[in-house]
This record gives sequence, structure tokens and C-alpha cells, in this order.
Amino acid sequence: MNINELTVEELYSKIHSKEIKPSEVVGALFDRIEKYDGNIKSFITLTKEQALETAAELDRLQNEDKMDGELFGIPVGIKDNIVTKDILTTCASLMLHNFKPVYDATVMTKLKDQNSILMGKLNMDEFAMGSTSETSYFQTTKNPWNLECSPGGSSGGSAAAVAAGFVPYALGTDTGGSVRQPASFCGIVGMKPTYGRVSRFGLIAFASSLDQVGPMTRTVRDNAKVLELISGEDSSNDMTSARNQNTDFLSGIEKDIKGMKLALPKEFLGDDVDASVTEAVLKAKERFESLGAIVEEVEMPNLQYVVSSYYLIASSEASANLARFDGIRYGYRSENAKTLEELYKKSRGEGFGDEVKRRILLGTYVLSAGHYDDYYVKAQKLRRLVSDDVQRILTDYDLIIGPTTTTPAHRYDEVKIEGTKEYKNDILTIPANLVGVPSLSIPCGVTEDNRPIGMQLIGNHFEERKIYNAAYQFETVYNLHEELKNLTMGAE
Amino acid sequence: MEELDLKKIQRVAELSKIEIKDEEELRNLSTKIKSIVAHSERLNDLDLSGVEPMTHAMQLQQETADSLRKDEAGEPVTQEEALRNTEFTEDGQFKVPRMI
Repeated sequence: MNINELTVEELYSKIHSKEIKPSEVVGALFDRIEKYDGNIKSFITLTKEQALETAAELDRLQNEDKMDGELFGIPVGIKDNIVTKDILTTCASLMLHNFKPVYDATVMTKLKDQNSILMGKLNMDEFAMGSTSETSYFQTTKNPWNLECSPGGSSGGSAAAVAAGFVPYALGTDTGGSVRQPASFCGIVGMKPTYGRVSRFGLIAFASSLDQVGPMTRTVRDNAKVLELISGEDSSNDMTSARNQNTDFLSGIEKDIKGMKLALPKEFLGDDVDASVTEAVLKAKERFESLGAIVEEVEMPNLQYVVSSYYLIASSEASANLARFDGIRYGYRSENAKTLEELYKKSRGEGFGDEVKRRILLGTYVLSAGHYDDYYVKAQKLRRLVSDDVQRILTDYDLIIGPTTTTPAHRYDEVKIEGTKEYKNDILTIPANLVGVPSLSIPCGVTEDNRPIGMQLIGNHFEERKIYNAAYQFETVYNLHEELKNLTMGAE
Repeated sequence: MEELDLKKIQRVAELSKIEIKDEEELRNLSTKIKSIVAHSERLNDLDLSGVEPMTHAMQLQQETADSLRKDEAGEPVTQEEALRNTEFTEDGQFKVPRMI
């Protein structure tokens, strides 16, 4: 038995039957991390000492048959923009290189309450701004499938760590596709839940009307289980965490999907989409049909405008959210400042990387007098039109399906694409964030040069249950679990 | 819409309290900003009159004042904790350069 290959559910049952001890699980995974993460570079911080201590305590409870919690003894990795008490939380930025939060994010508290064990904090694009994990101040993460490729981003460290078998599950965050796109590139399962499903308390804010925390796992069932455990109303995030949620995603997951109606927007397979991706998604369509689902083509006419709308809205919100980094109360403080004004400007000028500065400047410009109506309000109007498109489709269909990304993972040696072309890669993931609906990415293919391809399933608000049901059924006819076990990751 | 030149981006940087170290950095930051702004001009192709701007991802039920959480006192962050993340403190307060 290779511990690193076990899913959350398998670990749960093996720990409960006392076949393995939490300390054995943690030990085996740290061995693996030490062996391979020098190549992959998924972790910014490892919390080995604390993890071993917690595991020893859980060993004792296991011995006494006091195994409380749905994640008892199961290790987790957390994206480094989710605050963890007394543990370095950097947002992959020089700005927070030395920041140790004084409290836990609500999602972290929930995982600890279930007795999950924190293994460390995972790399990402700086402040979650990017889609390759290259804007990290600390390191560039590699894709475990193909070390010459990006794992995607911004939750690239989380996706790589799950695919590499360093942790059975991780949490990422998704503002415009940052859970789903790296999940797609790394051949795993990643959920962007309904806006308001999961508390954002303790998530270092990027764009507050779009951000959601979501689980990244190797199987659909694991994903549903983790989302059940992190969901729910939170008085610390009162205005935007939904009340009275039904969070049972697992009980009906194995139901057949005969007659389920799936919509495939023709714009999701447009000219910008790579042939390998189109082929994999059309194959997935056939697989769904073989499971008894009905797949029909629909139109989403405003898709071509979502990138503009997203960048204007997200950057505007970011420019306000990132105003809190002043060099005074925490984080990077310039040594070259003589006045208070200089302290702000130099700390921010030196502490933020280029992509973060760009987005703050863009957002400040868009919100400034004279431009607000031209850009920001128009972007919000477009957001309404996209929402209407999605709602119209979901009146007649159960789910929307399509590729997660326009291409498989890009190679690091490719000429870097710049400007809006680079941003256009996010076109297919952005609608779910603008509209607030849940979207899950699952593997649906692999290219000849070992780059996974993902498909997303988009449902209506709070209909994660339906998404997981369809995804689980799809997984019974196509999954990459076996392939994940064979990744060599540059060692041996 | 007006031309977005380097001078304007410099002005936006002032408003954002971000020091740009030299003209090279300014040019580097400008290129992408300009391309996004130019790209978003296409929103002008659409007739958006009469469309209600969408400010939130969805309407949640607690968007009325009477459904806020109860006004109960909790444990706040202590002064010691609040000051823990900087070495620049004095007499239990954050220390900044002289202002007046």
C-alpha cells in the first residue's frame, strides 16, 4: 500500500479500522515531499513539526477509540492566501513575507474541528493574481505531469501538491478560475462553489464579489465530502455567507443521470480553443450520452465580453482591498522612507510585484472620477447580461458543460503571451465567478505529451449536489487516478 | 474615451500610494494596463442602456438590516497580538515616521 495514493475516503476508513496510524500517514507524506518537492516546488512553508505533534496526539486518540471528526488524521495543504494562526501566510508576496496571522480562517477552523492535519502552505500567484503560479515572489511551481509545464494558477501549488501525492486534498481559492484551471492542468478535481457557500473570513481578499474558497481533490467523492465540511453560514462573514444551506452532497451522488439535460454552449468550443481540448470535450459529450444524459448545443452570446468585464471589476475591487497593505501594521516595511507618505509609497512600491501593481493601478484608474461610468458601470452591466445568459440556459437545462480552459498547460519554454491574449485563457472560467454559480472541473483527457485536459460542469446557485452527481457518474467511465500514481516527477 | 498616457498612469500611481522607481518600470506597467483598457473599449459595441448594473454575484437573504447577526460582544484581538507583526512599536502603539 502506498499511502500517497490513498484518497480522503480511503485514508478515513484505514485510520478508523486502525490499519494505519495518523503519524504513519504524515510521516510517509513528508518523506514524499522531501523527495520530490525540490523539483515541484509546491510548498512555500512546511509545518512538519506541528503536523508530527498533532499526529502523535491523534495516534493516542486512535488507540483509545476516540476518533472524532470526518477528517480524523487526514493531511491537508492550504493555499497561502488563507490565514493560519501563528503560521506564515505570505500570499506568495514580499509584502507578506514575514506575516504570521493571529487567528485562523473559518475554513481552517472547520478543518481543525474535523481533526485534519495541516502539512503546510502552498504556492500561488502573488495575491492570487495570475494563472501560471509564476508571479509568486518565492518560486515557480512545476506541473507534476510534465515538469516543463506550468501547473496553472493561481492555486498552482495546491493543484500540484494533490496531483503529486503530497496531500490527499488541498484548499484553493477561485476569483476568475484559480481553482478550476490548475485542477484542469494537473488532472485533478477542483470546485468553485456557489458564492456565499463557503465563508471568506480569513481569506486575504482579492476581489470580494468574486472570491470563493474551494476543495481540490483526486476524486469527485472526496471533493463533495470536503465541501460539505467547509460550507455553511458564518457570523464572521455575515453579509455574504448564505444561511440555511443544504450541504448534503454525497447522499445522492451515485444516482444515475438518465435524462439529465446538459447544455454545451457553442462559444465554449470557439476558435480560441485548442483542437486537443475540443476533441476531449466532444469525447466527454459522448460519454455523458452513453450514461443516458441529453447533451444539446446552446448559445451564450455575451461570452466574448466577459474577460473585459472581469478585469475591470476584479481590478477595481483589488485596488480597494489591497489598500490595507500600508507597511505599518504587518508585512513589508521599506527601510528607505523618511516621511509617512514615503513609507506608504515605498513599502507598496517595493513590496508588491509587477502584476499586483498593474492591477491596483488599473483598478484605481477605472474607479477614478470621469472613468467610473465608462468602465466600471459598463462592466457591471455586462455582468448582468452574462448572468441573464446563464439563468436562461439553466431554466431549460440541469447543467452547463464545456472545457475548463482553452488550452492544456502551457510549456515554460513557449514564448510568453502578453497582454489580453494571456488573460483570454480565463474566458471559460470567468462566467461562473461573475454570476456566482458553482462550477467543478474534472479531468476529461490527456494530450500526447502528457498534459491533462479538464471539463467544467456549471450548475445553478446552490446546486452543487447536481454537479457532483453528474461528475461522479462521469468519473465511473473516465478518470485519471491510475495515471496520477505513475507520475515520476523528475526523480528516480 | 481619452488617451491613457504615461503621465496619467503616474498620477494613478500617486493615488494608489505606489512608488514607481523609474521610467522603465512605468512603461512596463503601462503596456498591459493600456491593452486591457483598449480591449474593454469593445463593451461600447453593446447597447447597455436600460441594463441594471450587477453589483453582487447573487442576492442573499441577509441583505436586509433586520437579519444581521446578533450584536454580541466577542473576544477581540489583544493589543499584544495586534502589535506582534511589526518590530516598529512603542508604548503599545504602532510607530511611524514623524508627521508634523
